[in-house]
Amino acid sequence: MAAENPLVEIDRLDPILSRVTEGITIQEPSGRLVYANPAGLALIGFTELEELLDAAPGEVLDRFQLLHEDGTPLERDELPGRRALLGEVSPPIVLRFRVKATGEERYAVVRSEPILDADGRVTQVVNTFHDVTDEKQASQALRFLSDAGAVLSASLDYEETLRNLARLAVPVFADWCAIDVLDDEGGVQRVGIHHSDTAKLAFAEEFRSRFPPNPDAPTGVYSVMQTGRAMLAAEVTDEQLAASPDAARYGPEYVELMRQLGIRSAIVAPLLAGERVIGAITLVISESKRSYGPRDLSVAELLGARAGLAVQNSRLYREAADAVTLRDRFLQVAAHELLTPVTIVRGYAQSLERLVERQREAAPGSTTINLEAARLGRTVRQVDRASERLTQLVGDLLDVTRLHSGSLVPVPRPMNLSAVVRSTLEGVNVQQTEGRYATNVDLSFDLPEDGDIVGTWDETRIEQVLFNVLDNALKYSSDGDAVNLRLWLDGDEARIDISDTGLGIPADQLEAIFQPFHRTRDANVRAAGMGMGLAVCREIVNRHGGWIRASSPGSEQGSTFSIGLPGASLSAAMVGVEPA
Amino acid sequence: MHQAHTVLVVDDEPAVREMLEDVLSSEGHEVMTAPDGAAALDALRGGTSRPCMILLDLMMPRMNGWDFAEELRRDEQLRDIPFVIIAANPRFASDAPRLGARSWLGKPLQLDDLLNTVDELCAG
Repeated sequence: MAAENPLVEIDRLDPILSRVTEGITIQEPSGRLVYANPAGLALIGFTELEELLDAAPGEVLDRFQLLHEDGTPLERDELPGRRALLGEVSPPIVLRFRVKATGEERYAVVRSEPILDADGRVTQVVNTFHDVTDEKQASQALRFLSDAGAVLSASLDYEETLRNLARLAVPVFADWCAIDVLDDEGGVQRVGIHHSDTAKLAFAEEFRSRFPPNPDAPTGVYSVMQTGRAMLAAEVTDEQLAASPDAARYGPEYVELMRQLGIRSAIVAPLLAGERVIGAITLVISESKRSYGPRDLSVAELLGARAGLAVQNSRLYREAADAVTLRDRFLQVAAHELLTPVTIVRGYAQSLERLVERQREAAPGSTTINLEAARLGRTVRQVDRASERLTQLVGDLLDVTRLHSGSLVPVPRPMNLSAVVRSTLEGVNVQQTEGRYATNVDLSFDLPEDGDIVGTWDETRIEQVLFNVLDNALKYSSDGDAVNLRLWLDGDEARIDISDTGLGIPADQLEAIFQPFHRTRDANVRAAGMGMGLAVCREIVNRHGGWIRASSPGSEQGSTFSIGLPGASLSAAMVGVEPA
Repeated sequence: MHQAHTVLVVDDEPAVREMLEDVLSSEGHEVMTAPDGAAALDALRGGTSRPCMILLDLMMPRMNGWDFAEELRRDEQLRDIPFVIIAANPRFASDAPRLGARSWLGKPLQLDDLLNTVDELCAG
């Protein structure tokens, strides 16, 4: 019977169990280990079975720090083997254990089952260990890389990103993590360093300032940046440190401080943007006493490639943003600087036109003078027309800069919208009498009669929008057309419809006209500029939390621009609200 | 030809002052100029001739247009002189009534508007 002489049974089974890749151990009821196959021996750090059999009780477990899978301490009584000794069958657990002597950390799925005799007493416990360290590390590496991916895409500030990456690497992937980037002068700039212990961090920084990395060293950050190839130092020994070129360069104090840093294993991987090396990431194992292996090297290489790309992207973004800022500043300065000469050219051109006209009037009989004056008049009119166009363009340019510079941010104050509508209509009326538009366009309006619509908006900006839309409506109208402005209160929304019976807008253009630089397809429209007007209007209205839309039944059937402004109410008294 | 009037031009840009002086002179007007609000006040208080209107730029060093308008309003001798704001930014158009300006003319100026405004204000 097996139960009476288990060791004989084991001897017979050993040739079979020796060929099993899972670790198998057998305990007697006292808990003492009486057998381990070679895989089991290796797992618990023995080479010979005799060695194990001679070990004092408890000594085997003393070699390990036992942990749950999540890293929290595991009590010995929680081991499935302990439970099995009591005759219990418990589910397998993932055991994480650290070999105290080497610091190496491993994972195994542990399953234990009691063998019972006829009376139900435990005669032996069979433990099987399925080593899942590789799988575990692989999935940790994957998770780390995926977390790193999230960190790398979280911000466009690459210095901040790299600092966060260094923080992420500790302690899951390294005890130390430092990230250096190449600056414009080819120097190395440390952008991130992390260690869970701040005292160590300060020590490392001091160390680095006393012994700056040697650009000519065959290993380390500089070398990796030069070759673009990652470097793995699986085991760093004191002897290696003492024999390193830097030891010869910096002397015994360097060696001693290096030893205090406690570097056990290290990887330096390049930060790659395509083929270009833009920095390096240094990963160091010290306290956790693990060693990096080829898989860690691959992870570090992937990390370096991703981080490099992120740095590259953020630099490109920064360059693009800088270019945009520069462009906006240029536009702003250019527009303002252009304004003065344009004002002067325009002033003189108009003046000259009048002078020529007067000269002609002064000498009605003289054919010579008349011919000269006519030619001069034509010339001056061309100059005046060109300067008028220039004026329009400068105005648009100013609008573009306002659109981009954020100077369209409204400064809302209590205002009377009805009053602003009335004054804008008056202004447009004046422009009409002065010939800006076709003279026979009927301009009418409907305002609420039971009170004025008031709200808190930016009066100047709203006036600008109203003028712009009215101006458009009139510009696109010909003699016989009509333009109507209707203002009313819809709930707490002020609504304005500006309708015309003019050219109309094709359906596919109803949204496009609000885009910056939109060019009208109609060549007949006067004074077409850069097409900024409606884009500016929409920006202003949107910034008030409102909306502006265009609708049109079709070509030659007129169009309506509708505006909604939130936060409106009807003030009973028809009193203008003065801006505060 | 218009009736001759005296106009004060207040603008910090010399080329703009010169242009306005030339243009208004060629229409037969007398033109006084000042590069900023303080100089304009000096010219008004110390000068022999009194303009019938003022063309006022807003953005100027030393004393800007807003402060000048304020000073003008406080001065019993000068407060009756009508003034018109000339500015590039339409943003300032709404400041005109608050400052006591009769109207606002955008830069670049429309000469007809300018001459009509001068005639209108100086005739009244």
